[in-house]
Amino acid sequence: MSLPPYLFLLLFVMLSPAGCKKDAKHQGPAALTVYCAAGLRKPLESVAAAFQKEYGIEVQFQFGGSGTLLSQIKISRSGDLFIAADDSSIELARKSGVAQDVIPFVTQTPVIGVKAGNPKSVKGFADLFDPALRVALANPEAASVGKSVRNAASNRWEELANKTTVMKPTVTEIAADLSLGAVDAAVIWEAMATQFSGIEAIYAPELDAQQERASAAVLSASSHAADALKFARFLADPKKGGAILASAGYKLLSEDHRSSKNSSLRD
Amino acid sequence: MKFPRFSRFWGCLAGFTGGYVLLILGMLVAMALYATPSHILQALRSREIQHAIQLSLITCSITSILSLFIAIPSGYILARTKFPGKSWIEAILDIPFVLPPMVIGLSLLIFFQTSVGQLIESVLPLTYTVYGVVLAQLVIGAAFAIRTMRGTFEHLSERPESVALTLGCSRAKAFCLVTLPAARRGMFAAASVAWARSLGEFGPILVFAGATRMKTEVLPTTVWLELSSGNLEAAISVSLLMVVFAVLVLVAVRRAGERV
Repeated sequence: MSLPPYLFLLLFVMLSPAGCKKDAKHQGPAALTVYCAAGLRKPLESVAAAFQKEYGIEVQFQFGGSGTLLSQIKISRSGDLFIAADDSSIELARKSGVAQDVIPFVTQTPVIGVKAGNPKSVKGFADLFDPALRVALANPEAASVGKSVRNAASNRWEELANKTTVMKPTVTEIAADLSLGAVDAAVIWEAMATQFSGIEAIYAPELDAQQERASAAVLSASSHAADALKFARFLADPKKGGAILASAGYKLLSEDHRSSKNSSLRD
Repeated sequence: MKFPRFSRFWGCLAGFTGGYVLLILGMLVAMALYATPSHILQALRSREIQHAIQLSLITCSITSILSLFIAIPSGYILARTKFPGKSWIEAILDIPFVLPPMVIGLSLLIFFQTSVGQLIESVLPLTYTVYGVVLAQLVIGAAFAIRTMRGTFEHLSERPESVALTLGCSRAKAFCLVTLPAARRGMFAAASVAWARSLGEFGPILVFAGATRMKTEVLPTTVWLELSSGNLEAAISVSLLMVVFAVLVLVAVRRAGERV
């Protein structure tokens, strides 16, 4: 029985990637898959480049809100490292058994981001409730900084949520909207104010109290746990990853004078 | 058309088609098995999800009607006339198909920050509002509706219109009294396609209207937010709800008889 010619072509097309795969095995160590909170994108990409230069291990990122990433990790049961921007996400990761070793590496402070020059004269947290001010927040379920705002607002959260102009699932999106001028204020992480052009940070005691630690957690599903841990340690090392983070405006944990916030992470 | 006798030719074709059908069915069955009726009921009881269902149904219906208002004249012009630059206009009308949905949302956001956009916003606030949801849906819904209506008008013979003109009708009268009634199945199909497409629209709405619960949250946004908070069961329940709506609409389209 002779196969029609187009079936030959189809088989050829389908089988050729299989031939290519064999070459890939001769390349270096497998790349690490890192789920990283969106707000930490810029510095982490620099750290990953430095890491690859030193160890020859490539790092591939998946960015998103910390809550979103955790869901993805739980569903896909794959990946090497989870970098979350708040402790409760890491705690949830540990509780569901997807994360093992946790290494915190920076503290982040939420601030009220406004356009450079503060055209709407935002002075503090109370101004966010002003009906004339267009405010963007990150969804608390999806992004860490959203949770921080919800905690800061405590019993006035419903009021603030109703009054908010827009909510988006990642902190980078609301920073972009602020840059664009579509909103007047957005609660973002302190270091992001320097990363996005034309944004200034306004500090508020309610938000300062919601300082969060960003941590890297090795995932239980990782098949390269040793490499993942290496990257996490590189990230936290004040001379290596830490130096890059510090120059981007982040506060390394060793500099932080406040005591460790979440004792349940201590084993 | 009679049922073909089995041969290698038909077997091959059936194999490819069947493979794709099985993939779709597999996806739906996997979802249906994951969610239990209690999950679905729990999802339906949530205030936010009820609001999202209402908002989705209302905005999709408005979008499908507005899409028709755009698609009928556009489809008619494209089907019946020739003019210089027609191929350029056709290419521009195809842009919503080609652009990634997120880019559509982003360009809308940027446009409404320009001076022209701000002028429009002072009359009708669109960015981050429910009206913005409709606009974001409309950009893509109208593109689909135009394609359908153009096909409809191209298939309609020009003779009845010409006869109406010879009998004393003006162009407008001929269009309203002869063409539109003849095209009603196509109009129904175009509206349904725009409706179904709007229901699933997520990217442009997220960027342009936001994901604000109880305000601009539509069903696809709900799926995303529930997924983000780790509530997989609610996300799947809402997804199944969307599949049910979509199936109902598409069956209605098939019944209407016009090719979508």
